Amino acid sequence: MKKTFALFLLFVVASAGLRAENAPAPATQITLGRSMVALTEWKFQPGDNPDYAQPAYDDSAWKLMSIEPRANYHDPYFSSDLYIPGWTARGYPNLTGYAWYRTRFKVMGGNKNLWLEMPPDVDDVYQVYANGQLVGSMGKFTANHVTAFYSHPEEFHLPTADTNGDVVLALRFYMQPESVLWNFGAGGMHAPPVIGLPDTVALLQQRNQDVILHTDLSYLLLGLLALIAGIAAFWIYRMDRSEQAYFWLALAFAMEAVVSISNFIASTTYWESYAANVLINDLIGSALGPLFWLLFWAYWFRLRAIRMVGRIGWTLVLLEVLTFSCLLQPVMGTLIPLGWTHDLWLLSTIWTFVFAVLLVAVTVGGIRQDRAEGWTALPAVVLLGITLFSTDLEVIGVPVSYFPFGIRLGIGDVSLFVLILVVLGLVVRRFLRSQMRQQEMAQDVKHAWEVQQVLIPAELPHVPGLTIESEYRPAREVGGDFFQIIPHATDGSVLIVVGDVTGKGLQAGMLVALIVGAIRERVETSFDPLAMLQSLNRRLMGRGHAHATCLALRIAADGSATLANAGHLPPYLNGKELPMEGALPLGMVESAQFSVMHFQLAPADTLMLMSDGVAEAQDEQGHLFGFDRINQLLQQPISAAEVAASAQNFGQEDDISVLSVTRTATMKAVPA
Amino acid sequence: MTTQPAPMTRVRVDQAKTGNLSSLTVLRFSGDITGTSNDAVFGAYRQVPADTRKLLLDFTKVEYINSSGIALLIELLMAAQKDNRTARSFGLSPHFQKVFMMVGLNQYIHHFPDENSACAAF
Repeated sequence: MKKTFALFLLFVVASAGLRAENAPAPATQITLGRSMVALTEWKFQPGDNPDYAQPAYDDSAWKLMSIEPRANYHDPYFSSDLYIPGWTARGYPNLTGYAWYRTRFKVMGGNKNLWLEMPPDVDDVYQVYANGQLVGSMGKFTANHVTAFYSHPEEFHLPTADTNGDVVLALRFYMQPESVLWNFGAGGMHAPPVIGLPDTVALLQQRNQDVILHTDLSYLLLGLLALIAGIAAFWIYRMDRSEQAYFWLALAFAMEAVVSISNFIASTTYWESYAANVLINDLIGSALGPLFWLLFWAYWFRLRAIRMVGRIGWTLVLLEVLTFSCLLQPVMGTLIPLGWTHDLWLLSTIWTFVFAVLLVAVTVGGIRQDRAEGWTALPAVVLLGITLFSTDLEVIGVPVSYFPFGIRLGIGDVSLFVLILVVLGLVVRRFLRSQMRQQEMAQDVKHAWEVQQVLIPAELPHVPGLTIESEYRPAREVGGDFFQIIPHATDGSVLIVVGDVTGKGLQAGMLVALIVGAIRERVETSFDPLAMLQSLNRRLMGRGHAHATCLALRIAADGSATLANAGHLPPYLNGKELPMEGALPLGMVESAQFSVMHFQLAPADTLMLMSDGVAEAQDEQGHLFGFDRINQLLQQPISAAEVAASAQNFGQEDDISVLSVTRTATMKAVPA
Repeated sequence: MTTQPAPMTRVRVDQAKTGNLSSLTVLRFSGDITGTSNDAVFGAYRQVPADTRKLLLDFTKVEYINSSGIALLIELLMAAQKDNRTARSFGLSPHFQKVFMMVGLNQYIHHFPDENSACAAF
């Protein structure tokens, strides 16, 4: 199992003249001082037989298997050249299942309290027998099943030697079929076991565990980094669910986090079995992780063929999972013959290759959408594509791990780190561009506000005989309410038009500009309120959701008034709502019939006109300001500003505009 | 004042019986009806069976309708009229009953105090 660990050999001083001879030769004589001795010469036998554990068993026919570091063997997982290839690289290429190692030694001198330190890198699990007695195991062995774990260093106390002072060690190994697939030189031990005194073996054991923790720290750090990145991506997605790229990004980072943390747990504890780790890492993580990245990039670049990319991606993942499942126990060796292993592996590699091509194709599509972002993403995506083949590269002996400061950094870790950096850079770039756009939009809104200040009169025209007050409080920078007060040039009358377009903000403001322009144009030829509404209605028809309630009021010099209404709240005359029939707002129906009424405005009469922003103000509990409160307010003299303030203080939801018109005296016609 | 996000509009499409036991479709609105309710409102309307001639709008769970929402309902009722459907409604608060009358919606729909009376009136 791929937890090669040769550093501990640096602590071994083979000072005791250890020599191995052909069995059944006499035991190797060992003298222990304060050091430890590596047991490098072993007899090896494939298969399984309980008699192999017995000290008297004749192993003279077994093959010699030296567990001694040789030059030119580089550890693919550690920065050490002390890696010893296992049995598949030493004459047993197809051997999986059980195999045994045996050695015999005699410890010279008085100290018989011996401990054994087993190497941390083995394939896959083992039991240790000393003089026929089971002294411990790495992995779980039951009558019908073996549970494998990632290799861990283990120490075992050896029983007292036999009457001759000899110790016979027998190691029963078990390797799963799939271990051959992703380990270079898999099988058995990749470093020699060591015997020594209790204190020194305990020190070595501690040292071995520390080095594993240190080496595999990268799993934990990158896992946590991916977890934080995933949470951040999900938070952004929650802010704007229309950006699905962040959803897939969150899933991609979450999957990276799960895989990395799972690897850390599996390599440093016995909490996670090897099978569970393969399920999480190689089956789910290796299939879904790249798919999530694929979908992220497809959404990020807003590719047109996004659905097709998704369909192909999911299909490839399904094929990969099905193929890979066949390579694992219990399928392999039962439903699938062992002889199919390499063909299935090749098939799995083909799916991976097609997936990598798809991943790069998506990024090339991204370059067409946005050259800068596409070219920035491409190196990270290519690295991710290469990472998909990291196991294949390991099997053929290509180093895919590096060891800065003793911490393992696999090509997958580098890929994840580069992806995080690239995605962070792209997100920041989009954020800055978004900020620039928002500034431009804010500038547009400011310009619209300035235009609206021109359209909505800040200073009201002087109309002899009328006191007019206005109050306008838009809900946003640009409002959707409007009013115009246009005195007639000659006859002393005045035309007042108030209204409220649907919606708020810039879109509503643009519609207000259109309506005010149309009002100004219309009064050149007619002061008739009904004609005004009909004209505005025609202007708004066919403009989508361009609708507005509107009220046009003409007050003649003698106080006679004509009022036309298109869905607007009728005016209040001296605190009482004028009874008017309802009518559709402008822009709904081409042939709409608007209600019209005539009445007389006597001296001291006050008309109060207001938009629905007053009645529909809402407090924090959702209560409406409502018509009853308006009625109560108007039962006493009150200014337009006070009405507007009452509604705004209650809880403004929409634009609020209030206009009060009081007849102070007889209006006079202006001489022609 | 802190502006709370408007409750999303939901529309459930139900089948019911009229007073003379012919079938009708009920659109049960809930949440606020605003300018963002277009997909919910017309999405539900598209689910109304093609042969439905009687449409009942249930506003009992609607708390707020703004001017854009009113415009949306007018468009809905105009679409129903175009499709030769008769519409009734119930459950509106007095405030919005007045608003419905003000904007001329009573040309398109008659409002009733409850579901039974609305069904019976078809």
